[in-house]
Amino acid sequence: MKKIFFFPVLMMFIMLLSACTNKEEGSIFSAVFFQMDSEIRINYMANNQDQANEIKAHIGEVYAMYHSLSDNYAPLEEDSPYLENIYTLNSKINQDVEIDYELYMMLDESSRIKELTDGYFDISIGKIVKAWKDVILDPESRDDGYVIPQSVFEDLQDEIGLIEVQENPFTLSESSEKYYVRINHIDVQLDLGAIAKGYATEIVKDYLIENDVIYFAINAGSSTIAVGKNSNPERKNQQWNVELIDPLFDNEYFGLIELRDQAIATSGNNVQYATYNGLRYHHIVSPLTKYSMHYYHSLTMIGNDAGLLDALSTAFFSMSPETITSWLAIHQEELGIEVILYNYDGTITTHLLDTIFVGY
Amino acid sequence: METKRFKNKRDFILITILVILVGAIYISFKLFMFTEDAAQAQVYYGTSTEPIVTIDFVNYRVIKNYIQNVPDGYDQNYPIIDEEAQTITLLGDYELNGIRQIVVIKYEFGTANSKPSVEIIQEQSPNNICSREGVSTGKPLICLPNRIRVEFDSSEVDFTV
Repeated sequence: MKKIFFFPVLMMFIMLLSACTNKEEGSIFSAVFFQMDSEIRINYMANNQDQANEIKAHIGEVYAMYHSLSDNYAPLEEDSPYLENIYTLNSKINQDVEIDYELYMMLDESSRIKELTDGYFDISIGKIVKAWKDVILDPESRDDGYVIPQSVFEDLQDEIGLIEVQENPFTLSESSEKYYVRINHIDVQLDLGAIAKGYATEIVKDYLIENDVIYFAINAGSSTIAVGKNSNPERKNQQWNVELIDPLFDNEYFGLIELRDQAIATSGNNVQYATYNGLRYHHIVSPLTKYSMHYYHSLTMIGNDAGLLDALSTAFFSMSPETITSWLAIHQEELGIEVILYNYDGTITTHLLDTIFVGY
Repeated sequence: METKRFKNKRDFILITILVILVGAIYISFKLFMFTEDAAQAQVYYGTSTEPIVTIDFVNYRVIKNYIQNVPDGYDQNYPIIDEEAQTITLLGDYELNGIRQIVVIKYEFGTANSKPSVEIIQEQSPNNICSREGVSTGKPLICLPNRIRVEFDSSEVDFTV
């Protein structure tokens, strides 16, 4: 009689336990870093605590390095192992300055993307971006409803009118395994803010993949995300569900996408902006016009390379819908790039390949 | 014979309890997973991946998970949970005149007409980005350089961008 009861009890315990155990080997670890003015959060699967610690330490070093190299607010620490960063470079005009290989490669990638986007991505317009930010982020006018006074706007127009966007802002060179950059004009101020975080995230992603980490997600300040597969058994396609924030309405979302082994980058005019003549002016400035453009409220880019996506999300913000369409006609298939545009009139345009997008 | 029946009765009670227990766990799990509103919000400080405070919207309670480690010279113990005002106060990393500044989080339990929500109602930082975010019912609130964040647990969504 007892044995008859023993069986269901055993079954129930097995069911209970199986609900708790993960079907994959290893467990999920998480790490948080504060770099590049962002909170960077990473979840990843590792076999044990030692491996998890090793991965965490390495990722921390990668972000810390790219943070130091791309910093345009402060010079390197005195005991820094690096030669120069963007802050110190910006004060050395018309001279060949030796830089670290990693910075050289990031500048080289920026030049490549500038060419790829016909000049819509340009890291050399730091002076113009700073002039805009000084007005938009004026501590006296922090309310989102801030309207730029006419006199301030006109002064700003005068200021940026005097700054010339350079066709050849800097020159990279290499000789006997040393790397150099030369800034070619006084109006050039380098700003890697639109690429550094994505670029570092791509390097971290590659490191995880090289180390056979299949299940991971890197959330670099919510504007750049790179993911592997999701170990959560609730996700039937091993995907990560990403909800897209509505830039016009607080606490509203306009859609959901499923991501797996991909990256995503967003740009929006809803975080830092001020209004003039009824239009939102924000920190994304077109290198072609020196003004922020008003085609979109936000755009979301999906693809493989987080660094490229980060840069493209800035470049596309200044492109008209027609320019984007013709750009994609040439590059979409080859680069595997997908785009969701939240247009200025509130409508949504998608240029998707395989990604599942559910609009609300 | 008498003892055997007694044992069977005990087995029966044991199994009944187990069945109820498993059922209860299953139902609460289902409820938690498929509720439309967020069931919890977690407050994190610094690089810790353990939440310092958990706001349980289902059971209307706020749980202090651990005490914030603050340097000497700060008399208060953080986090401070004020259940009447529905606020949670932590010590942020941002300093004014060498003194670290507090971050105050206001929470609302949901009602029939409103979703559970959180809002940063007080903080000091260069651009006040996190207090300017206003009330959130799902989007994470991230306070930098105070290094405090509030995040909702949602079963359907892994990230918001």
